[in-house]
Amino acid sequence: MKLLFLNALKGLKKKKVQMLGIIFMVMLSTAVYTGMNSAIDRLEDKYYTYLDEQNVEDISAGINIDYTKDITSSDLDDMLKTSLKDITEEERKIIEVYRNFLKNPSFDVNIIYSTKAIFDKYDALDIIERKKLDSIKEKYDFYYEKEYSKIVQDKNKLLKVLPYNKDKKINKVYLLEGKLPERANEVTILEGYAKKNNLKIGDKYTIADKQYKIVGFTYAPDYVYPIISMSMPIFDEKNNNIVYMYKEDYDKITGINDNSYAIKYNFKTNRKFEITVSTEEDKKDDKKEITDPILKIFNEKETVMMDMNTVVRIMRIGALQLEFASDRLFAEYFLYLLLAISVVIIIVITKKRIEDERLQIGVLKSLGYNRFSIATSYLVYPILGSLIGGVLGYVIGILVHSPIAGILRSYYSVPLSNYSISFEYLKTSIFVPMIVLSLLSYLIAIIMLRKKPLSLLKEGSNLKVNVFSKLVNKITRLLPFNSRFKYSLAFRSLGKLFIVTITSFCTGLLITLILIGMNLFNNMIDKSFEGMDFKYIAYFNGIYEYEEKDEYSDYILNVIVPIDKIESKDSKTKKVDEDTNLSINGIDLDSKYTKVLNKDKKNIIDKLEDDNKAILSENAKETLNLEVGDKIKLKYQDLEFEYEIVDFNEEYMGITAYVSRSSLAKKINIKENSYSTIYSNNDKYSNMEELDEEEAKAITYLLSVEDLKDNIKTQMDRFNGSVYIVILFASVMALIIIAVIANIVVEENKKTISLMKVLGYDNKRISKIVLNIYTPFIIVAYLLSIPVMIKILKLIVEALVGDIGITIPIEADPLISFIGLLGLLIAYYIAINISKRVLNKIPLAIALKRE
Amino acid sequence: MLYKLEKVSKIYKNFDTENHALNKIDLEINEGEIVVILGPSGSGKSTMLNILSGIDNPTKGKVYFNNERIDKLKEKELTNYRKDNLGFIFQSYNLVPNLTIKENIELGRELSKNPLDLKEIVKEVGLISHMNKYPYGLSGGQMQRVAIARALVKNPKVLFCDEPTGALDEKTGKNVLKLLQDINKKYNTTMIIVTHNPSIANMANTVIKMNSGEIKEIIKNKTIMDAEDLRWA
Repeated sequence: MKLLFLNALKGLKKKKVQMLGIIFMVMLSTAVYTGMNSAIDRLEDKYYTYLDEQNVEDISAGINIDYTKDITSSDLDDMLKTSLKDITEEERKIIEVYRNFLKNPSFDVNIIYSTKAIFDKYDALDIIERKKLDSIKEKYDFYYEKEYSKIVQDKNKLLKVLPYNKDKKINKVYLLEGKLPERANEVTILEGYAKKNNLKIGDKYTIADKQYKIVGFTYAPDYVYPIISMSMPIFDEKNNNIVYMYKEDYDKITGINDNSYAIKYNFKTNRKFEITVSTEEDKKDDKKEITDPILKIFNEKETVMMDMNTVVRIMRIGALQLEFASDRLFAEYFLYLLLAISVVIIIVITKKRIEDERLQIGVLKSLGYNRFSIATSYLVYPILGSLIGGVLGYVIGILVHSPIAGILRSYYSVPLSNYSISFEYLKTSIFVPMIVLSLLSYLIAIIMLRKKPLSLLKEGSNLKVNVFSKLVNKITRLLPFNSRFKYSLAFRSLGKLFIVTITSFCTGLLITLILIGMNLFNNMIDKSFEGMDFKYIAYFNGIYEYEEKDEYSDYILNVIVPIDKIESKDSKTKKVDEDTNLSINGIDLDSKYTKVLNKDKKNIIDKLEDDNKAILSENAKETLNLEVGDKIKLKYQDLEFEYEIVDFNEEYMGITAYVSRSSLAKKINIKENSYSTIYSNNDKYSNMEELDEEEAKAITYLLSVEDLKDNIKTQMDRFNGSVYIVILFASVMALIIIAVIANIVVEENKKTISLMKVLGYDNKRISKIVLNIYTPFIIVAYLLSIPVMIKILKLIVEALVGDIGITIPIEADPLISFIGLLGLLIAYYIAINISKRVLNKIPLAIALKRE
Repeated sequence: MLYKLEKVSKIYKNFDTENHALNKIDLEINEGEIVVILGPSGSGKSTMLNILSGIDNPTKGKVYFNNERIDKLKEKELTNYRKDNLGFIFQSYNLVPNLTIKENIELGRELSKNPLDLKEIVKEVGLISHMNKYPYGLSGGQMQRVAIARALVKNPKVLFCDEPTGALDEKTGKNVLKLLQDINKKYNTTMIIVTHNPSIANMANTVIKMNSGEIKEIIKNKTIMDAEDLRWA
């Protein structure tokens, strides 16, 4: 057996291309596996201890204030002595109206919204909020702290400013370098921001025309993924910063308050966030108690609520966990995917070798060797391939893990642990491929070696033509000779044809997936911003009334109302889930900067002339199965009203509707000049400092559409760039596989090639006939992959996002699909050219050799 | 005169040793002749065939075909020389297994600017009822006939036959030789047959006896025997 193995080893010299193909596949898969896992290790190892050491919150909660019963007259007295001591006379009157209202409370939108606006402006609800939290803290065994922060827009930079408090117990600041801001005019910033903006410790740093001194680099531990504002949901290292400053400086700086309560349990909690998809059963049972120890607190619905802040903060802290899970999964699947491809190649090579050596094998069997010992010699490919490829891949993985960790760190603010060698990955890199590849190739060899010695020795035993080839021959009878010859060669080995077709199909799937993904997000972004001729969106903390309209602004009244019923044109009731809300945007028909566009890009705002008409979003249409003519009946506290659907606008997120603003105000019994949002081109909204104090305090969120577009476009450029990398990668993979197959094809047809050279065929013509046999199969396989991938994507999208109220249009751009096909064909022709060199070197004398 | 060789030598170098496969060969072959190159293993007859057919180049000397030198031709030119003038028959037939008989013959016809009629050739070799069959399952003699048809359909000036009966029994071998003889008479194709079987020499116009890379004797047969009447040694 040793001799057989040695013989197989010597034979490797002639199989260089095939051997290199296997080594490369194993190397690539193990490099990615090792690199990704090592990079994640460095983040993950530190991440959980970081959360513990900085005592990061377990959850954040919004406080549910019932204005009809949570605030007493006595509370109002306390507030007037403290937080409300500097209110205006006008505001004082509103407070007194509210005090009277408390004697006989009912749901009066006007009083409640006006009072809320004052409380928010002066941050006066502190006392009430703390009282409510104190009422449940013993029951749920937690302590809490109020988190103060402000969102500051400074030209194109978006900053989160936090006051430094050395006595803070929850979410303690992490110092990376330098010192903390313990004096006025001192600040600490993010290290990444400093690098991108050429700043260092000791430099002057200007925020809203005031200069500060950078004294250190810090992380805010509850900003692992630093979402600063929904204006820039994707973290941009250059333009987003988190600044800690001295408390007095913080109090003076103008920005949008973004406060919340951070809750920390006294018992140990599992830091791992789990994503669960709610079932139909869950949705029906809204009385079902929450049992998760971290979320249990939300059973106290009258005290706390899960608001947008809660969700954003969970994302900020927990997003990295998703990254860990998905990256590790990717690395593992990638490893097994490439191994699967390697297995197929090894099977083809083993099969070919056995066919070539059938006489030899026949002799060995006649001598008394059994097929198991002969099969062992074929393990030389998988063993060597795994050993060399695995070790090389591991080393490359170690080398590239640092840049990968660096890329991850540019998105996440978490310290890195030091690198330590993991032999676990080395073991996986060598032994997993070795076991998988060896086992399968051994099995194949045993099956193929089952023929009797005599039949192996019989001359011409390898000349048999399969049934499929004969069928193809009959079908192609009318084609010219060259074509017939090509197809006969292609169908002679169904195994190789299968590999090439599957490779092209899978490459096509991957390329289509990436191209659709790229197209999809680009399309969504374009469609989302269409109809927006304004630069800023200002969300207010309540409903306000304008005295005089600003000519640069459109006024929007936004109300979220539960849907009671939907009736079709013929008065049939349509099914709608409980707790489905409609976000209604009341808009003026003479809006200058806001368009409501349908699928044909036509502005259909005029259809809202009638007070009872509504235009719903495309997403609402898909989710609720709506049609023009349907009536939506809404219930808002003790108010009931309805709208008839007249059209749909091209919006893919949320269940939203556009109606006439004045009609909406009438329906909910507020003044016609009411608004809660402004869409504006007034540049005063570019800088909070330019707003008057009253307006600044009333604004909850200020969105710069331009910044949002730029932010998303910058990320999309990165994404689009990586798309081309993926296409290149997929093409390179296809190239390697096809090169190996082409090499095998040349080897298999050596005698025929030599014969053709002797007869007088030139190399060019021979390579055309022998090598270019797979072109039509590749094109067909790729074209078939496009509709398959579209179908798969549609199913995935439906499963994933149907629940959360987003519709994503899936389309394949023919031009982009063509680029993908081009990439694949280029890879194919490069592979062919590599094999051509081997073909050109085949000597004529082979044809003359006697067997 | 079709071929002329002047002082042709072929030397193979293997590290320190030199093997003189051909040693200063002078030879002339006329058009329309059947020439048999006879000799034991290692005599240089296959090398001679390779040099004449342009598959290999001599180390020294000159080779003329139709008064044109072919020993200095580039690979592309040699390919064209073989394509336009030569046909080949091998001991191991060298049929393409996944092409039918008809298609194997077409493989040769595709190259020729002035090919013979395929059906006629197939009839000539007696395989008309086997046209759509595959090589697997044919007898040795039948496969060799296909090879002959493939070579002949090109309408070559010269047919090179390297041990055409080496893998066949006597009866089948004689049938194949008869076919070659008939082709020579009908089409005036020059036949150059390389063999170690001395009986075949009797059907040749010229017999070239080789040994150790040299021509030992050139015999011009006064009487040409019919292939049917040959007696195997």
